[in-house]
Amino acid sequence: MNKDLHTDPGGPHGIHEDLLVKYLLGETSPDDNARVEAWLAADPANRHFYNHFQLIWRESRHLYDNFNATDEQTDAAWQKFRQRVQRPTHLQAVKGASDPGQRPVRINRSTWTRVAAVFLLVASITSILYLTRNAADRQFAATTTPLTDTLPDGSLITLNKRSDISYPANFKKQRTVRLQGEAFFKIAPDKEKPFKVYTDNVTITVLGTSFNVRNKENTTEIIVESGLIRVTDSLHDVIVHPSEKLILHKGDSSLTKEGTTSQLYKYYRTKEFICDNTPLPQLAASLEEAYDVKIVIDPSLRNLQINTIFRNQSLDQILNIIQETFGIRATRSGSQITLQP
Amino acid sequence: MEFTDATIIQLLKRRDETGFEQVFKFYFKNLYRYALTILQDHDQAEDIVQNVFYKLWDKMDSLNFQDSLAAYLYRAVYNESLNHLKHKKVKLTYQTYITRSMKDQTDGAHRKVMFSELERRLQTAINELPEQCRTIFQMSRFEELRYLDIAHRLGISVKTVENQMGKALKLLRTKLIDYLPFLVLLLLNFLNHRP
Repeated sequence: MNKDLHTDPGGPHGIHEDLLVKYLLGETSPDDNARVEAWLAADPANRHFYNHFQLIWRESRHLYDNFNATDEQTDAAWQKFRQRVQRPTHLQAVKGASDPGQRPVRINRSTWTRVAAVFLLVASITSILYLTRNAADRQFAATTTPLTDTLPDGSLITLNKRSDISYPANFKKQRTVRLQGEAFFKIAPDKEKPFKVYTDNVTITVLGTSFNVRNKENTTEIIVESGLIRVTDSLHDVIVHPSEKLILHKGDSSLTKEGTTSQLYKYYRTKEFICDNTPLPQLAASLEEAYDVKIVIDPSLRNLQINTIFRNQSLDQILNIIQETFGIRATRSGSQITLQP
Repeated sequence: MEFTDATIIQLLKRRDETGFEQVFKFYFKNLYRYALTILQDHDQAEDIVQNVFYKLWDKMDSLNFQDSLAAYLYRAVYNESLNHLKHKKVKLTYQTYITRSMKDQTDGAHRKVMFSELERRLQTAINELPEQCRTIFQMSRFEELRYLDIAHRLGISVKTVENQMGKALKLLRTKLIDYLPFLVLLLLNFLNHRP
């Protein structure tokens, strides 16, 4: 086909519009830049074509400069919206309204889901805001469900629910994170830059390894899966090996280090409850956490041990299996479960 | 970063008021500006955005979010704005538009927006872009988001953003082509002397 300038006045020759626009917006790679610049230099007609794009882009820049809503307008708009959804004429649209025409709509809310939902949403949105900024610390939080994410250095983190981590904006230079709650870390190896995890009482230093940290009520439990880690606090400086579990208490000189083969702690990451001669109270504690319930065990059942793997099962399914395995009775009332002979 | 829409949508489905407030305030400004670029009327723009959020609140359970919450909201604002223009037949010609704007200005009502000839042509051309193309152009040009951010928000690939932006500029150029030589003459020197 003849590539004469006048055969196709609608499009550029030898280059795609997408690339020109990318170049215009500074979205191109150095290779792309070289290509576009060579193309621009090749023919004044090319430059002319590009000028059109440039012109349109620049002219549209200030087209809607005064179109920004202020924070006050946004707040006023929200108030207006709120009144609208609470108007009695919309009662039928909302469940649980027993007194039409009298009261404004009460929004269907159970206290806990409400608190959790708000918290997660606020955390989500602040995280989005944090991420789109350059300054401040970066943060992410898991509130109602566990969450897995990759850090800028490629390290993988799984946060259990009700846990959060924050790390500095210059994380790639300084690999430090601050943890509240529980998380599993799989650290990308980098001998030049040790990776540090701070909880409120201990510092964990690693070079490249995987481990679980659980920090609840002044107690920190660390289980190493691979590699070595170094744990320090004001009183200790300890190396932890694979399959070892270290337990530290804030402000307490005692420390426990034990070999562990229990895999149960992984449940929030793997969605599996691995029970290997696991005492029933121990499984119950994990289930309580995972399903937000309270499990009361009759003292006569406390020594029962269970061997199985629950994989992606509902709490009811798990309770059924426990009932059948031990021939015991599980009764549920609200969020409380009672296990009895 | 996986604070997925799925999570947010799940929360919204519980009709949690404070949660909804966060979403409302997070999107309001940009959606309002989007409606305003199409409608050129502050009150109508706010009404459209209010309606879109009301539908979200009211029909949350039956709504289907194929791509992302942001994509749904922008699409809804776009469609409602165009419907509004169609139904109210307020798609004014340039002449009546200017007359009204000037009248409003002399009346002391500054709620209407006035444009130069060039701006008007550009604005018309931008509003004639297809929906996805228009939304992406809005995010790139007026919200000044990078391709990657746009892709994340709309739940689409960066490649799609590239294609749609290429398409947008190509369509705008085609629509303005008769007018461009004159502009180029006027502005070419100016542009070429800028970095």
